[in-house]
Amino acid sequence: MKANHCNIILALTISAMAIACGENPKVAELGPAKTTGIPVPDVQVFRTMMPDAGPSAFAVRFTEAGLAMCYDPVRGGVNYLWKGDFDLQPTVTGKISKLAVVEGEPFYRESDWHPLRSSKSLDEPDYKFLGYSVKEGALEFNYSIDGEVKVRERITPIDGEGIRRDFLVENQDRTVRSLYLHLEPQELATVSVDGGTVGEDGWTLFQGEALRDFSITIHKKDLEK
Amino acid sequence: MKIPLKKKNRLFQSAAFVWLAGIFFGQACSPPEPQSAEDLLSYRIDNVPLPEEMVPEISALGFSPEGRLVVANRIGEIWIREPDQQTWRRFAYGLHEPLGIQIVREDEILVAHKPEVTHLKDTDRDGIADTYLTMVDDWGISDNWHEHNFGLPKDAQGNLVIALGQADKAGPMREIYPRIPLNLDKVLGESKISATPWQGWVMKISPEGTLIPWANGFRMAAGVGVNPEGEVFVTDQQGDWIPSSNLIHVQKGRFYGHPASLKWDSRYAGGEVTTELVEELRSPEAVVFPHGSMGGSPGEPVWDLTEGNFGPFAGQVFVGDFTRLLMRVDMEKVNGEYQGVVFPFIRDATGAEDIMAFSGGNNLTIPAGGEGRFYFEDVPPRPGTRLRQGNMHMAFAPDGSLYVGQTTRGWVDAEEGIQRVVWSGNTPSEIKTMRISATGFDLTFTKAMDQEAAVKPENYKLSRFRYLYSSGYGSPRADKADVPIKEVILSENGETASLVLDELLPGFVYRLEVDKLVDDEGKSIENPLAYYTLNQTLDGQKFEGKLSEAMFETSEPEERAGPDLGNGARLYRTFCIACHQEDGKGGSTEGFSSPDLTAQESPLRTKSSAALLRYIAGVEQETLQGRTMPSFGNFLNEQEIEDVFHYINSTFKSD
Repeated sequence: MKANHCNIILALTISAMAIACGENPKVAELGPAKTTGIPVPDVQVFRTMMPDAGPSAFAVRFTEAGLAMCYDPVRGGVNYLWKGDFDLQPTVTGKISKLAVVEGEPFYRESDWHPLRSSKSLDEPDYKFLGYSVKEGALEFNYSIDGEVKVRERITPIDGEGIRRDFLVENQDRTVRSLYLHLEPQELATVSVDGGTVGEDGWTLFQGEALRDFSITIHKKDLEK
Repeated sequence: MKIPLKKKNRLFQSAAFVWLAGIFFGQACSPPEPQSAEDLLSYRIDNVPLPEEMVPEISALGFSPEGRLVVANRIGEIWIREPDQQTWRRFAYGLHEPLGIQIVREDEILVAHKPEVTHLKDTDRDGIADTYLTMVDDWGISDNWHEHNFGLPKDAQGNLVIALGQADKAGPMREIYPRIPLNLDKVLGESKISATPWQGWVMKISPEGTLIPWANGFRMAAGVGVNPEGEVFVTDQQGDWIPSSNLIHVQKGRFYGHPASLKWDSRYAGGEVTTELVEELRSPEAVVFPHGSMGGSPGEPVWDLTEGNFGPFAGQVFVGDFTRLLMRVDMEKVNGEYQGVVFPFIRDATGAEDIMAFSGGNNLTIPAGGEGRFYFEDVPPRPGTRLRQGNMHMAFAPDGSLYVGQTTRGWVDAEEGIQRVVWSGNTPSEIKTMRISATGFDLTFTKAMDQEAAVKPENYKLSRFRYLYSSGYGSPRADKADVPIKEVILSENGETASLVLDELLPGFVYRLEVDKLVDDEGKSIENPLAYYTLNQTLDGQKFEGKLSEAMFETSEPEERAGPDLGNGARLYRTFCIACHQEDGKGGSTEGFSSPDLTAQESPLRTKSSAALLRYIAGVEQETLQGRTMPSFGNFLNEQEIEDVFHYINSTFKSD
């Protein structure tokens, strides 16, 4: 008890001295700042304002592959893909910010509204963006379709010339028996779908096992060949 | 000012105590020199060191339950300062202008940014967020620059709170892939247009992620806070339909003045909204921040819950402002509704020119119905501090210091970062509270006042004025009058003074200046200025006139010798420069290029002056590349339009 009393008296004395000196004893001095270092991941993801995309789209940089992508969480999908980079400085400069600058020529473009649907109906599906993750270098976008199907879309670069989009579909209640995907014709890229059946109308149908797991590969055409 | 002798005596005694304490306790204290005025300051400001790698545009800050400082910046990063108070770690990046954080744990942070509220998680515990889950995004956005999502405190029920700013029709706006279709219609002549749901609303987000529209009528509620009782408050920004910036107690279902948001209220959507209707609907703010005197753009309100570690203002509210100003607010409940007083707390600029130079262009200085610049003069600076500008985000640290995050992008030269305000332990001489009484106002001081000075009514300069509610860009002060004080009753201990008045008028802001008072040590009051917002009297009287009209004064407008080119230049930089650029040569924005005013085929050469005046006012409109110029007659008066026209004409019209 005596020791405690001594400690209290000492603390009070120090506080009184510090206050007399014009200092608040509870507030520590600040030292110079340093960082633990900023990692430079191979896949870099930014929400921003991109040309030809809905508001707050994604600018994605695949550093090692030298590729960049605009992914649109409003429309739902890869709006365009190009070799090169982007400049976000205009989006964070000045009172009235501007769009990001795409540094390169897109070789793949999509513009259809919600191309992955649970019916071929012209009605827009209830598409809801659920977020994204970057774990161990793998980029994954998550969304739901018509409130019943949850999709995990993983995107990885291929050879610096394209990307692979792997779709994992959670449909545990099996309330949705088919998924339909509409891919637009491309002049500068080859697009192949692994799984599903392409109909004459251009829609790819996924059913059964194919509904759970399918992929799209997009590759820049070598026009010089 | 003459300093009474006894002040010197007290100063000497204080210095002598320090010296004696130094002898007694060895060298722990300062050398035995008399303390300078700066040594005796009540508060000091430290610049918080930031790593070079961090862009110091601070857009949110807070402290984790473990006591770590967590900071967001406008380029979209979240940084965490380790307990050594030196080492910083980038926790997340790539967010879209985060303007609010709620720290769950060190590895789990919620962020309000432009498109959504996102739940950041560090699932592999490497110190860096790897999962960005969309918690809620059930509102619309476009790419307009004036849409912001402010937050993110928790209310008493555990709901998160956000406030969505409104789009600026004068700025570029693409309509590609809107998440929710845009509605660009005006409701009542406003310049901020609530282009999508729920712009201009304050909303709650349940723990399950359900969006609950709560109240509306906000123009750009850039500061969102919750008091210790869990009630929601926001600050709103002067502009169209907001006569002066303010602090609002946000209550469910209420409307606070800006009509654009009514388009998303099913009771009024599609119907005719009139001035009479919005006057009837409008709930008053709790506290008006008079434009100029109390800055021009307030930020986040924070409550002093430090239990005395930040000085004698425990329980009061602190609000930063874009100008070099921190304010202190004390509220009381009168018949169940909050109203109260605002004081300057720290101001670090002297005189109108200095303040205007640091106040972010003329949006902040000119308005108040064109009179704003006149009111930047009447706040005396606090000596010895070095507060920066852009003080929009604040948080109290566990040690009781007040951290202030600053951002100024696009408004003035960057002078940004984080500062902290530390109480020295010296009690400042201040008006602690100003409360309404049945017969006037009761003042409580932080120290006993010198009785001789404090009992003289002439040492209290009291006046009142109103702001007028309209679509104009801010309001001039109307119905201005000095208020005579019949009597001052000082308490026995000299710490409270009751001002007895002939009458109290609800609906007025009362301005009090007490620069002649000194405390019983002869020391002046550090911030001798107060503005009390009197919404109602103790016996329940409220303002019953028209909010948009002056009651008393009919002063004749002053004769003008001619257009004021200086004012025109300021207006041009405020309202025109975004499209026409500084050199008048126009610029390309998304899908639109404004005309080169300096060219031979410029409208300045091809149209008459009268036609151009009508064009600026919006009386006549011309569509160019599918766009029309905004109608500046909505927020500039005739003289201002004349001023800006003559500035443009004299500056850009080629010979």
